[in-house]
Amino acid sequence: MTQQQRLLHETVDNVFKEMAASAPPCQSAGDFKSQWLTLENLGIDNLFMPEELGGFSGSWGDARIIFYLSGRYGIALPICETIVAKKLLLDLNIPIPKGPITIGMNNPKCPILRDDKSTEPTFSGVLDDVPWGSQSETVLTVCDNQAGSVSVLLQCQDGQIIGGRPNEAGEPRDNIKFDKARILGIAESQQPSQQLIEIGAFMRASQMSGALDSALQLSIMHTKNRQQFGKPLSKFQAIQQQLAIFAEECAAVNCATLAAARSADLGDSTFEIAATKLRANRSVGAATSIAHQVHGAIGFTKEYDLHRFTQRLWSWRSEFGNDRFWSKHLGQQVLAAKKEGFWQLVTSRSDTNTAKSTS
Amino acid sequence: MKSFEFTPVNMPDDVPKLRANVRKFLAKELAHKQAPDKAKSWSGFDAEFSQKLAEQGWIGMMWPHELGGSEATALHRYVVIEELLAAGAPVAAHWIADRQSGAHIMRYASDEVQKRFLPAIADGEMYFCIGMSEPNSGSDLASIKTKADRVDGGWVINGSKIWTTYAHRSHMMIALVRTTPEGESRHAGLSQFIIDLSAEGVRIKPIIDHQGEEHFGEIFFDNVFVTDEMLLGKEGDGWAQVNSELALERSGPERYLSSYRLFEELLGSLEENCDDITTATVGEIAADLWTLRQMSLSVAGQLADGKDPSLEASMVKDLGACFEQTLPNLVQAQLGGSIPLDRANNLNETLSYILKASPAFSLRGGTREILRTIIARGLGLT
Repeated sequence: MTQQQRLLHETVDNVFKEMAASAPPCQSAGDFKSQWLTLENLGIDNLFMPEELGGFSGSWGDARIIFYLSGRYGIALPICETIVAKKLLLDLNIPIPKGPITIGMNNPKCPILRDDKSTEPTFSGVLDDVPWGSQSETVLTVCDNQAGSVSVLLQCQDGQIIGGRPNEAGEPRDNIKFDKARILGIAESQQPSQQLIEIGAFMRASQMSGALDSALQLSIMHTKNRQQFGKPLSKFQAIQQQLAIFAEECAAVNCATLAAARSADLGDSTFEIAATKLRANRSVGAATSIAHQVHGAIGFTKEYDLHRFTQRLWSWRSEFGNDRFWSKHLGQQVLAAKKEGFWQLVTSRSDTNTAKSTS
Repeated sequence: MKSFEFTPVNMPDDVPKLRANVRKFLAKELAHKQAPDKAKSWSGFDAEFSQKLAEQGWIGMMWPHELGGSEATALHRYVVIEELLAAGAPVAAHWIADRQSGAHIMRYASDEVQKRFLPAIADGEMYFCIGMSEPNSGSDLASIKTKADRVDGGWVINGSKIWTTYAHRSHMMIALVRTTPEGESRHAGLSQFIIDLSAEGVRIKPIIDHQGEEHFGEIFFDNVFVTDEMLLGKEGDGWAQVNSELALERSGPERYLSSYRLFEELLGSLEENCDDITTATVGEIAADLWTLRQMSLSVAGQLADGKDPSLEASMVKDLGACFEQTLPNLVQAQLGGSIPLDRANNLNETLSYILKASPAFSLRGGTREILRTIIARGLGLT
C-alpha cells in the first residue's frame, strides 16, 4: 500500500465503521437516503473521477480498498456499484449523473430500438437481478453489438419493477422492465459486454475478501471469549486447526484481489479476475462453515453480527459469475493458450510491470 | 486481528531475459527426459545436471562473487528455481545445499568455513542433507536425543537421524543435536553442527519407500568427531537457528509445485475444445495455481525486502501442499471423457507416480498440523 492508499483506507474505514455501528437492523428508504448522502458528501463515489471534477483520480488498487471495506463492514448501499459505473461512464465519455448508479448485466442481448432515423433511440428489455435497482437513480447496462458493445444509461424509474427477490443478505436484487425507455447516455465501445461482468466480479471478490476477514475476526474473538470445559475454545487444537484453515482462505482471497487490482491497473486483467472470482467463490464453503461451526448457536441468531457476513458471502458467490461460469471461462482461456503453455501464460503476465497503452 | 501481508511483487526489469535463458538451457538439458522423470520434480537426483546448472551460475546465486555466487537478488533466484520446478528438472542433488544449508552457513559460520563449503556448493559438487528428525522425534523436534559432548579440540557426536532426504548421496549434514541435557526449557541446550558424512563412525542406511524408491534414509553416529569450527552459530542457540532454517525451507515455490508436472501432462493430453467438466477442472486448477503463485511470489518479495514473512510462508506451504495433493485426485476423477485412459501414456504414468508420492507433501518440511498450529499462534489463539 502506498502512503496515499493507507490514508484512503483509514478515512473510509472510519466512515464505514461508524455507519455499520449505527445501521438499523431493518433499513428504511429514509435510512438509505441519509446514509447515501453521507458517502456522497465525502465524495467516495467519485473515486475514479479526475480531481478537477471532485474526484481522486483513483486506481483499481484504490477501488479494491473501498470494495474490501464495504464488505468488511457489510455496508448496505450500492457504493461499489456506483464507483464502478462512474468509472465506466467516465471512460465512455457519457455525462455522469448524481445519486446511486447501479449496473445491470444479466441480459446483454436487450435490443436498443430506434423507431426511425429521426427519433432518439430507446431501450426495451428486462434487466434481471439488478443490485439495488429499486433504490438507485440510474442503471448502466451493456449490450453486445457488431462493433463490440454499446453501453446505455437508463433512469431506474423509467422502468417497471416486475420481480426479483432480495439476495441471501436481504440486499435488493430487482428485475426491471423497460419499454421504449429514454436513454440518458449511450456510447459504443470495442470492449465486449463481458467487460462488465469482469469488473463486477472483481468488485464482488474484493467485497468477499472483506466479509471473509470480518467473519474470521468474529470467530477469533468468540473463541477467545467463550469458555467450555474450563478453558477458552481458542485453546482447543480442534478449533485452532479449523481457524488456521479459515485464515488461509482469507489470505488466499486477499492476495488474489490485490494481484488482480495490480493487473487491472496495468490494463489487462481478464485472466486474473477470472481466477480471483473463482478462488473467492471456492473459499466461501469452507470459510462460512467454519465460522458458524466455531460460533455454535449464537452465530445463528439475528442479534449476533456473523450473518451479515456469511449471508453476503453466500450471495456474492453467485453474483457476477458463479463457480460454473468462471471455471469454464478460465479453463477455456488456459486451453486456448495451449501452444505457448500455461506456465508462459502466468509468468509473462506477472513479469510485466508497465501499463499497456489503452486508447 | 493480525493481518497477513500479501502485497504483490513487481519483478525486476531483466527477469524476462533471465527466464528466457533458463528456458533455453532447460529445453536442451531436459530434451531426453521422460515424463515420469520430470514428475519427480525436486526429488529427482542428477549430479551431472546439478553441475551443468552450476556452470550457468544458477546455484548459490545470491552469494558474494568470492564465494562462488553472482550476488543476484532473491527474486532472480526465485525465477530460476520456479522455472526448474515447472520444467520438472532433476534438482535434488544440490537442492538442500542451495536452498538452506548454504544460506545457513553464510549466516552463522566463520569466514574459513564459508570458504570451505560455499564455493563447492555453488560448483554443484557438494551436497547437503538436513539432520532434524530422529527415530523418536518427528514433529516434536525439541525432543531429539542425538548429542554432542565436548572433547579436546572439538566434539563427539552420538545418536541417529532418520527420514533424511538423500542422506546416502550427500556429502555433508547440518544436524541439530543436544549439547547440554534437557533442562527446564526444552528449547535450550540445542546446537547445530556441520557433519562430514564420510567421517569415521558414520553409517548410512537407505530406506525404501512404498513406491520402491530410495530417496531417504537413516544415519547413525557412533563417536563421530567434529572440530570446533563445525559448530554452526552459537552453542545453545540451535533452536532459534533451526527455526530460521525452517523458514527458508518453507517459503519457496516447491511448496506448491511438487505435482505441477501432472497439470502440464493433463494440458498436453487435451484438445482446445474438450468437454465442459474437464474444461471446468482445468479452470479450477488454474485458479488455485495462479493464486498460490501470487502468494508465493509475495513471500519471496517480502524476503527480498528483508521482512520476516514466516507466518505467510506457513500459510503458503499448507495451502500449497493441499493443492499438490488435490491435483492428482482431480485428474484421476476426470479420467475418460476428453482425457485419454491409456495407462501407458505420459499423463497416466505421471499420475501414478504423483498419487503415491503425494502423502509426503504435507509431511516433509513441517506437517500440516504443525503449520496450522503456527498459524493459530499468529492469529493469537494459543
